Amino acid sequence: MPQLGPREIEVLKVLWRSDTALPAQAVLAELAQQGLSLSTVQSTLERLNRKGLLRRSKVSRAYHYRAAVAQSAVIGCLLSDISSQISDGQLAPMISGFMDFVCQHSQDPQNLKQMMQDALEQGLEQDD
Amino acid sequence: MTDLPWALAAGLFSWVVLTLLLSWLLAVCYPLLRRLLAPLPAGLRSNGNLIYSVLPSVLALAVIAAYAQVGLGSTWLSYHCHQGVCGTHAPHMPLASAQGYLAVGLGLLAFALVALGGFWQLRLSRNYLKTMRSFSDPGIKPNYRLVQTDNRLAWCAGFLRPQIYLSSGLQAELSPSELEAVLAHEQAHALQYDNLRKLILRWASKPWPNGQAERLQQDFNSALETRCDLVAAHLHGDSTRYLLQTYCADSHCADAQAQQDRAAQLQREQQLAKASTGQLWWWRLQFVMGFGVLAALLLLATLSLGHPLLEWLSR
Repeated sequence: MPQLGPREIEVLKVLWRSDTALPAQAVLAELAQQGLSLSTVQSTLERLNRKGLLRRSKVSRAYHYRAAVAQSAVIGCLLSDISSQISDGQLAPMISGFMDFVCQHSQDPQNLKQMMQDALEQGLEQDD
Repeated sequence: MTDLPWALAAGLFSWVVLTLLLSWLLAVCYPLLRRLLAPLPAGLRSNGNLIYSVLPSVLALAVIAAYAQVGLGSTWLSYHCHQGVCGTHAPHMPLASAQGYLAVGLGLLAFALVALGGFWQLRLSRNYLKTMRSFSDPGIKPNYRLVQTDNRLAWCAGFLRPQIYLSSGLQAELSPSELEAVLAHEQAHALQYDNLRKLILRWASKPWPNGQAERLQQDFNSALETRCDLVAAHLHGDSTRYLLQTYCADSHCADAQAQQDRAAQLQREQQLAKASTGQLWWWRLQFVMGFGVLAALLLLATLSLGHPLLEWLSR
């Protein structure tokens, strides 16, 4: 899964909550309490788009964005990354009680990563 | 050893060498420790594994400190001389020796690699923790956070401020009392700082041969999980069947033999947990005395043998 910063995660959460594609101004309005500027939100959306996590379409003269992958898929990839790190022994001390997922993951190690890769590729193909 | 930087470097080299040697010795003897710890309750077993893993580094540090107290040397060190200088002395590690420089350099390099590796792992762990927290929401109760995924998961993450996470998939499946038991299990991990203890054990067993290190870590993790299972079971009248339903519903427990083994293990642990106060104190006494004798023997042996070994290595 691509590395995601806290701001990118907050923007993704806004888009996941929305049923329709949103312009940058609407995303900014949802994140009003964080004190971000429009240019910051626009550059965050652009970064997420380049990472293949968003799809955008032009409406009038503005881009409208929607999430290209579901929240559950992204979280599944995060957990998959963590479990592969656990299997390799890197993050094992950090997490207790994770073994169910590790067992499932070790039986089908590529499934979640493939799902994410497929979703990313579909997102890129449908981008403007 | 006349200047401080060299003294520190030589001290670090000595600590690395003694830790490595003691670690390898204890790794070879680990199967014996497993047998000795097997009859004890899970809590004592996990503490035994942890103490055993850090014993080499702690003893090596004690030995280096003892060597610095030159006057004490005569009690365990055989009389010998260096270039006409006799009497008690700290380990003689001469400057003018290519092998000495090489040995000290390798020791420092090993220490630096381990320190960098530890720093990198902590950084990686912190990034994952931050991302996980960002993707989670507060749960129904304040003591956990919820992650939106169909996978049935419950875990405790973090070292110094452990946080419990629950998946929405698991929360949807559990009844309120089952949820309490799952949270009790994870809370037991958090209260005992199990992740921090696992980190210490993992790094302390780095010098061990891979197979033995893995076995030590598995035994330690298994004892921790069993102890936390018992805490959760206690909330439900010590029901082993309850525990099996809650924790063994996934594919890795679908096998009948695995279920039987797990049930037998939990029942045995519950019997141990119900032991009389006298029995518990007897186990604790054996535990403390056993490790005390082991530490004393290793300390004396290292004090006697470490001095000539370090001098030989830096010759």
